[in-house]
Amino acid sequence: MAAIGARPVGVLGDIDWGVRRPLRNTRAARSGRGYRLRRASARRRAAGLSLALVVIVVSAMLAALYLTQSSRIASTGYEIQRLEAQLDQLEAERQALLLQIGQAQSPATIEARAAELGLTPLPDASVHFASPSSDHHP
Amino acid sequence: MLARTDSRIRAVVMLVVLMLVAGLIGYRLVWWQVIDRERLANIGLAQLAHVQQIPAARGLILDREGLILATSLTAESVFATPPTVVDPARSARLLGAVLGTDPAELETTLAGETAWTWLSRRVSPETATRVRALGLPGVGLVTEPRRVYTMNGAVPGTTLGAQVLGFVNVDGVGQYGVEGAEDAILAGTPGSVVAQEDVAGRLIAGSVHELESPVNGADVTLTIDAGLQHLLEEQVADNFTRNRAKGVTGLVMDVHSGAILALASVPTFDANAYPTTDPALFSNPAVSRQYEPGSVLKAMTVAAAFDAGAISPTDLFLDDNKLKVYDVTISNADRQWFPNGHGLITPAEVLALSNNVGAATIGLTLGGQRLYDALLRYGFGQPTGVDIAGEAAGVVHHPDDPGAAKEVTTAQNSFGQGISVTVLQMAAAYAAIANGGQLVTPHVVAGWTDGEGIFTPRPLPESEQVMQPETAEIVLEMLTGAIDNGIASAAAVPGYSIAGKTGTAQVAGPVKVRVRTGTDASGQPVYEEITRQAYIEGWIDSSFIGIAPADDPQFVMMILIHRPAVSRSGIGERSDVAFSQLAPLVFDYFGIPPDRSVPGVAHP
Repeated sequence: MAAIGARPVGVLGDIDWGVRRPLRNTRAARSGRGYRLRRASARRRAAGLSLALVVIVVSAMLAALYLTQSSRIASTGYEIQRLEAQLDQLEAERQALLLQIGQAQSPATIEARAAELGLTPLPDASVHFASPSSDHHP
Repeated sequence: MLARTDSRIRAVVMLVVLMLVAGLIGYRLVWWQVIDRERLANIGLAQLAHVQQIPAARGLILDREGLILATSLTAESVFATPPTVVDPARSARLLGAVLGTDPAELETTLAGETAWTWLSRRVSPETATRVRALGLPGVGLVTEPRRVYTMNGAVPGTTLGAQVLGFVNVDGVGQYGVEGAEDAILAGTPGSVVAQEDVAGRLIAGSVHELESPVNGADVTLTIDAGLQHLLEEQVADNFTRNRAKGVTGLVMDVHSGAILALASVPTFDANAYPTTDPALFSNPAVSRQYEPGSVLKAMTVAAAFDAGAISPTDLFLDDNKLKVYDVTISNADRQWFPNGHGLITPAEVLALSNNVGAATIGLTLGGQRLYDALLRYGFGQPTGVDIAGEAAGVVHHPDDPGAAKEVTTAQNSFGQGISVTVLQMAAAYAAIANGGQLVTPHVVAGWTDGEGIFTPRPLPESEQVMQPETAEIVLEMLTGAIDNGIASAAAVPGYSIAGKTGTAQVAGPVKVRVRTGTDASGQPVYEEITRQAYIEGWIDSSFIGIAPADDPQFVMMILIHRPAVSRSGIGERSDVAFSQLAPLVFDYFGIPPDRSVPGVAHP
């Protein structure tokens, strides 16, 4: 156990406890048995106070941690919702583009577009075959 | 002392009782918190958490070049929870105007006691927006995938390859075609998440208890070529119109692999509007319709006889146009011009003349059992294993079957009557003639690509050698002669060697006949009119199947015209003529050079 007046260490080490001066400067502090009793009593009170303070601070820190975590979970949840909505939107766009690609690749669409451009099928008579037996030209 | 002792005893008893109570409480606490913890935690979670299914995305269907034939969109469906609907009459009136449904019917639904019901599935985005804007209590929207077939067919109001692809029903299950046959591959496996929800029904981050990710369906690549499919659909539709037929089916297949490059039938349908389509159109006639093939089967009879060594190419068979088998007389289709037949003819002439008497004689020479065995070996009478849902097996009768007529059955089967086949069976059998005797499995699925991008080819059964290579070669040569010198010369394509065979067979239909059922009290005969299946005058199936180019076979092509309008001069556009129009398109499409000189073409 830390001696009275000693600076507690750890998380509470930087706090000014303010219990030394009354014990040092009173008469009781200077008179034998009474001084010891008072000193023991003060030590107990200080220990109790220390413990209470430790509990309060730890609890506060845990509460703060919990609140931070809850807040972060909530905000992460909303971020996930937003990203999922964005994903759905992108997926819908991807699906629409796939449909457009399929429709644009359709032979019927290409045929109609070719007709719009004034293209016509090649007449059979204009096709010249180069077959092995047609090599003997006159 | 006694009082003091009593007091101590009471104290001890009280202590024991308290200890027991404390022990019991402690025991229950340990039981709940430690021993039975998991079960109780799950019960608690089940009360708080919500199980949400994560749907798997259905795979695309692509043609052999990767063009998109079928994809999926997200659509919204309208549902209602009738017990929470505030004013059913008003809600029905407002919804009826938006959904285009009868308000009276809607009101009945909304005023009902069903906990949850669909009002309209997969509505348009505009309709969904309008329903949402109404803000009616007890009416909601939920997203569902909607299958879309991207390409229009050659026939107006249809989608490309509708009877090959099939469709996906409102419950997301593939029906007919590839969608039906490959549903397990396309659909994937849905996942699920168990998590807590907030008041808005959104999952709370960090509350996910179980997460099973969905496995999306694979993209299925077909052997079908969209461009060729379009050309074939145009040809088939043209023949359908010109012949005023009940149906026309066309097919182009790779003879070496059995890969179907194009498969089209008319009438067909719009797969994007299947709910309003006659369900009779959903089946693919090439796989589901059994028909009597007629003369195209003669090539199989000749091949079976060669294979068994029952005949040789130089054997002669007498054709006197009246082959008597029991009480049945078999005659030829050209009896009007050759009433006494053609005399002694070779097997090649049997095919070139499409001679019934010659084919029946060859079949009888081979014998019923051996012909039956050969037909089964060539793939008839059993499904081909094609990956299109709804395949029929066809019917081949053994001559000794109870319903068969022994040698009469053998003789009739020899020229393609009394036997039922499918277009795909016939195509596979002709592919065997073209590829040296291997029976391939016709198929439209080349393979599938999973989420990792790994392509898995469709596993196909090993091709079986069902015909001797020499037999296949001889029959192929004879079938080439049947086009060059036979009655099917209309199928010829300038510049290309073609092997093929025509077939015309009568079609049976319901016929009302009077049958004597007994006699009345006065001894007079009593007749009753009944309906039975019988051949009907003017009902025919006209088909042509060709192998091209015959010198280096690559494709088997088939056109089947079902019940064309028949006039005195015959049918309007014969199937061999239809073939001669289709084949050049296929050669042009794949860049197949001519293998013969082209008469009348000026060369630079």
